[in-house]
Amino acid sequence: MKINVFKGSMIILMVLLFLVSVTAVSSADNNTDVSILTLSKGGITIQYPSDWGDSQATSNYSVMAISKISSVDGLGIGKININIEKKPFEGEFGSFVNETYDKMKKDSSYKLVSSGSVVVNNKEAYEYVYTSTQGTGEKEHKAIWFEKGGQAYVIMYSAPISDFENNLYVFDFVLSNIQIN
Amino acid sequence: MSDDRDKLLGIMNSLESDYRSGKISAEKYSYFRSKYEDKLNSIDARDATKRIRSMQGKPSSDTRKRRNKRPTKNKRKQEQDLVQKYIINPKKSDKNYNKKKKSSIDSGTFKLLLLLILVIAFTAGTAYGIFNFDFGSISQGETVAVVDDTAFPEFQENAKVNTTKTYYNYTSYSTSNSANSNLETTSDNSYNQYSQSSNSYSYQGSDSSSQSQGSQGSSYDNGASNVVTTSDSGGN
Repeated sequence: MKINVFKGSMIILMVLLFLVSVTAVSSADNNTDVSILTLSKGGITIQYPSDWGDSQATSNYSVMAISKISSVDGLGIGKININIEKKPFEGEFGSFVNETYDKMKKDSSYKLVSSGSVVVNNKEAYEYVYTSTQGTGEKEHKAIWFEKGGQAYVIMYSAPISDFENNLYVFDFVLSNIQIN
Repeated sequence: MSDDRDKLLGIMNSLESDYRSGKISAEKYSYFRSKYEDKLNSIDARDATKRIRSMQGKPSSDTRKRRNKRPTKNKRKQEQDLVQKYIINPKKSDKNYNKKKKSSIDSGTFKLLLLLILVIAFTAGTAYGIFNFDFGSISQGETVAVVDDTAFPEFQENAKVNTTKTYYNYTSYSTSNSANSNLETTSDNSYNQYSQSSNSYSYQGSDSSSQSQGSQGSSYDNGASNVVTTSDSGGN
C-alpha cells in the first residue's frame, strides 16, 4: 500500500515537473519578441528597446547616451540619439535654462520651435523643441530640463527631422521609466 | 529496609488485634493505622526508588550488595511492575502511543517525499529562471555609436563673415558736383542690378540693404564709383 502511494506521488510529481518545464520553455519563446534593456550610469537608470544601443557622447556633461542602432552611419555616429546630461549651475534654474535658449536664439543655425513645462518623474521640468543645422544635417531636438541637487539635468532626444516623430515614442518610454538616484 | 516494613506490618497487626479486642478506641485505631500506613507507603516508595535507580545503573547505598546477588524471577517481576508503575508505560491500546509509533515508521517516506519535492522545485525554478531570464537586458558596456548631440552647445552669436565687393559703374552724371561714391551694404549676395541716372538711382537687390551716398545731386563725368558692401551671414 505504502509503495503504491509512493509510486503515485512520484508519477504526479514527474508530471508536474514536465508541465512546469514546458510552460517555462513556451513562455521563454514568447518573450523573445519583447526585449527591454536596462542601462545604469552615474546614478541614472533607464530602460530602452533592444534596437537601441549604449553610445558614447562627445559632450563632457553627458552621463549616458543611447542611439538607434539602425541610425548609426559608417563613421559610427548615431543620427537618432537620446543623450542625458547634467551640469552644475548657479542661481535660479529657470534663468539658467532661459539663458541657454536666449543664446540659442542669437545663433542662426538653431531655430526654437516650442517651449513649455512638463512633469517628469514627479518633477517640474522645462521642455524645449528646436532644430539645428549643424553637423550631420538638419535635426530636430527635444530637450527636457529639470533640476536636482544643484545640477541641471537634460534629457535630449535628437533625430533628423524626417525621423523625429517616428522615434519619439522611445523618448517618451525612456522618460516614463527613468530613475534618478 | 524490609525489616522496617515487617516491623511496621507487625505493629499494624497488633493494632488491629487491640482494636478488635476493644483495648483501644476506634479513633485511636484509625489515627495510628493511618500513621502506620503513611510510614509503610514511604518505605515502599523509598524502596522502589532505590530499585529503579539500580536498574538505571545509578549508584545507590546498597548497590554493591545487590550486584553480588542475581535477581530472582520474583524480583525481576517486581522491578518490571515498578517500572510499569512509575515510568511511562503506555498501554498497547493507547492511540497516541500507537500513532507515534506509526508516524515514526512513515517519517522516512515523508522525508524522502519532502526531499524529492524540494529537488523538483529547485530544478523547476532554476529551469524557469534560465528560460525566462533576459540575458540581453544586462548592459554589455559596449558602445554602438558616438553621439555628438548636446544640450549645451557653444552658440555663436550671429557670427558673420563680412566680404566686400566693389562695383564700379562707369556712368556719366549730368550734374557738376564733385566726385561721388555710393556705398551700399546688403546682407545677401544676390545683387542683381544697380543703375543710376541723373540725381536719382534705383536699386534692385535683395532684402535688408542699406545705402549711403556721399553727396546726392553732385555731378561728375567719369569714374563715379559705387561701392557695394555685402555681408554673408552664417559662416559659423
